[in-house]
Amino acid sequence: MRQPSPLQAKGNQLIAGVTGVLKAFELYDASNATITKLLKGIVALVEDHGGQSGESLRLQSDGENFFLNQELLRLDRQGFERAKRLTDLMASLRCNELEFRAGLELEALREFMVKLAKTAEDRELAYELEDGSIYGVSLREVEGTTRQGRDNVEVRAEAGARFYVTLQILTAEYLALKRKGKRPGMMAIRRTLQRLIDLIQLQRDTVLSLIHYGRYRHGLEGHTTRTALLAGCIAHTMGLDRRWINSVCLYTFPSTAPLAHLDEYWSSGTRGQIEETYGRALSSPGSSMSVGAGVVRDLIAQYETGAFGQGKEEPYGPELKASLAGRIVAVAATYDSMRGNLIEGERCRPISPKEVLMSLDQMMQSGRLAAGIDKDIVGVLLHMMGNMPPGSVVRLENGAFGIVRERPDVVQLTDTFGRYLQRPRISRVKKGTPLSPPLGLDMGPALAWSDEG
Amino acid sequence: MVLGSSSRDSGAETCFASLDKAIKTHRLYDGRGELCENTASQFYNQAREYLDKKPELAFQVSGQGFKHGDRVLSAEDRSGQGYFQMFKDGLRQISILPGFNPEEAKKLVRVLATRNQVQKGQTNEDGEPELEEDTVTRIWDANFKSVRYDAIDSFVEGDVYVPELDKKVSLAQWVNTKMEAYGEEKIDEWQRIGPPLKSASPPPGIPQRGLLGLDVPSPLPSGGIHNFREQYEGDLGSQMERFSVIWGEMVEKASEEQTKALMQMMIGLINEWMDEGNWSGLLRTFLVLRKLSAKPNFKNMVSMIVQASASQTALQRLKPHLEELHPRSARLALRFHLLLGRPGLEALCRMLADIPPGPVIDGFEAAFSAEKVNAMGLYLSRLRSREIMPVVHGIRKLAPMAKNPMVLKALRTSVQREEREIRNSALLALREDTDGSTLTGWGRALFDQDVKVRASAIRALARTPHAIGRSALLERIRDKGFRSLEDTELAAVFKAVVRMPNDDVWITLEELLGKNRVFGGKNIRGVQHAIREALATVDLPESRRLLGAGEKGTT
Repeated sequence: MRQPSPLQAKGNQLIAGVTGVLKAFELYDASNATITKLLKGIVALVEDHGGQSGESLRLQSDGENFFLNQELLRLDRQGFERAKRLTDLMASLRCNELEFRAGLELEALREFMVKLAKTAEDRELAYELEDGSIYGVSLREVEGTTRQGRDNVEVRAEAGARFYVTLQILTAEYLALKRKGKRPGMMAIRRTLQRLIDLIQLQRDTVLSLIHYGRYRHGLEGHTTRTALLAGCIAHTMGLDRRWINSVCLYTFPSTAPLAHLDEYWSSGTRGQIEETYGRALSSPGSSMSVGAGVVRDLIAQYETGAFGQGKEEPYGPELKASLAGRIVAVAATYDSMRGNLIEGERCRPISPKEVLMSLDQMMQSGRLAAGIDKDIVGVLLHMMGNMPPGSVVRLENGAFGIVRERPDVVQLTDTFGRYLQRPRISRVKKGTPLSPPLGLDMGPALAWSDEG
Repeated sequence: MVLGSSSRDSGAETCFASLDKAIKTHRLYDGRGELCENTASQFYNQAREYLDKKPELAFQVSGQGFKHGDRVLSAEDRSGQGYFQMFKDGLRQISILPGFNPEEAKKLVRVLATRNQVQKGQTNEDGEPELEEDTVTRIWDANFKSVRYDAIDSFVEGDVYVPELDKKVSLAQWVNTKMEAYGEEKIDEWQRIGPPLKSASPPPGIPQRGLLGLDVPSPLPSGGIHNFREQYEGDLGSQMERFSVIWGEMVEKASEEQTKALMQMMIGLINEWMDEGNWSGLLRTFLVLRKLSAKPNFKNMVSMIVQASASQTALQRLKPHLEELHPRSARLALRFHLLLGRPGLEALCRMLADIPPGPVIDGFEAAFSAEKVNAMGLYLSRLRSREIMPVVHGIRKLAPMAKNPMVLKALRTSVQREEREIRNSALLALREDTDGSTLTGWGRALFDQDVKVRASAIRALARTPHAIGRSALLERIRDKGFRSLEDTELAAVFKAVVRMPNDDVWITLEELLGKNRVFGGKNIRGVQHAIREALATVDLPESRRLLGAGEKGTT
């Protein structure tokens, strides 16, 4: 079991000390030995911390959560109950930070705490507590308590990017654990996916534009994330309900996981390597295949993906079709692979979404689609992406350049002469010319850009 | 318990009290049974009443428990896996809106009552449980129409393993680091070193100045959507077949050690479905196993799996699910048990034995009929129940089959039961039976509190040539309470007894005719009148003698 970080322990002690003193004031005189003992404990804690790092201890509240020097304190139930006295007091004084500075002295702290206790009767006293230079400790309101930037003004595009990034990070962990033969928990991935599926239902184009931002350098986790979300968008376009969209997205994770064993060749494995990798995944019924939620889904995903990778059109024989989720994910993975030119590895040069769609259309017309690629689903993909897929670099009718985000909105990056604008702006356009993305263009900021921000 | 002292909203508090009760009941009884149903519908009624007056019913979820306004409505339970867990999962508010219906009420109670499940051995390197889902994922999955929720992304507060750093870091911090790629700061870089967009060219096939519309695509035609939805639904139904093909291939390639693991995997899966009452999953699995057992390589393995997972004891796991089965699923359940052969069907019948008559049993009767399976076994099992209603129900259903030796034996045994409802039903089913034990039962029924049962008993005993019938009737006549019976019943008994005459009969009747009491005289006169009427219906020397003696006595 991992030991709690030193800050966690300090945070708990600090909250216990402060609430203990506040409670003791109700029973004893300020000079009472019990109070002195508690105050000495706080001083020692601050000294200990200041001695090591020279910094103060900042206890911040956000609703019912407490942060100590920006680290969330994982309080247990008793901790929350104990902290309630302090939370209520801080909320009533409209303050969210108690700062204990290095060099704090016992008597100054005693005086501060006496005044703090009296603020319940005289709120004016709170103003005297704001200046940390008087007592070495202060109570005040500060901006941006939490480090997540999780607030109401965060716009959907940025929120979408944040969840997209979160999903990539969690996927990287999932793949690493899978590579070690473990069966990782899916809760955080599911929570993040649920937020992204909500976004697909509200603003599918925002998610589509995000999945066009990614290349080989974003790794297998990037490919998995993009494939999962594109599969979700396809499922949404098909009219499947959100639980089904969710299960289609979840199918992607086990389907790409065996590729993690190919290391840097994850995108360029030969048919033989794929056969071996997927075969190995299916022939090791160890802990990774213990019965649990989703074991059937995981096995089917691995089996079907492996079979498609080996060029088998009908993994189960002619009597039983591959699952719809499998066929959707196969189309999504193929599209992402082609668009990111992933097979080229580090040498990849991104291809415009329009070009990939045109290729897929031609392959469909001429019956050259790869094994497992269902032409009905390719049809849905083409329909969903339309003429100008979100995430495309585009030249507008007036000559300006931008990136399609929420059709017909474009994040305009340049003026009509092709010079970068000081700040991008969102323009509503009717027509444009799709372009192959130039090397070196990082689309990230444009995809998360908001005029409101 | 209501804590705190802020302004009260007694309506909301009442609603919470019923929600709290429903959740706890649900946990206690695993969501099964009438009590769970009742508490959920009580919660629905309270919420409905509240929503008639107010636009929404909102509860905040805090570290102290549920709150309404500033008031804490519940103290956290000691186990700490209750409301505090919901708070830890990030749930912060639940609002119930107009349009809330009983189904959603049940679903909400079920979702909130479900505890986070940790699979055995599923912990991460820090020893913390690896969860597949939490309160928030469950609420999201439930897809409520009239329940809104507010949750923070609490999971972001944890740590994540970052392969590129080969260590664990704060997820929130790492997200912020990665978000730099999306930051405005990058835009300043474009000004200096951004690629010249002017040089970008259209992909092959698109003219340099070719203009394409940026229209939002229209939704797919409804026929297409319907087709995909049907495909998906069909897919869910055939998942097990896909799984079985994979499992079969895995078994074929597996070493001896791996085969054991695969076998355990299948057994585990079956057990899981049994715990969930997943009939369709079980049915498909066993269909697949049956198919596999035809192959020589699989025969032994399949038989071991069936032995391990479908033994009489193992099947008992399904009993709670049978009790609350939707009648529509009865056929699936029956088909699954039929697949297991006679022991499976017997186990099903045994599990159904105690279920009171109602929709579940009706569903199974329909299923037996649809599958062309004789339901006799089901009814015979119900005869062994300790509950009265299932036995009575079984007896009524078996009555038309009373000639079957097994049924006859079971019904005769039921006649011996202590419960009068059971006894009487069995006797009615055995109307034509002349067995001694049945007749003895009819004799006992002569003393029953129900006049109709007594009438049936008299008729049944009158029909039999067996001495037991006469003895029983005479015993009834000699009983103290006999004289207080209605005249019609007295007449029926005497008419029955004079048709099976012997010395005992004549002596008993003569004694009664000779009695002349001052007290209770009215009763004895009624009895004597009934005897004379009965004697008049038979033309025998003894009857004529007694009638003559009686006339003399009267004059």
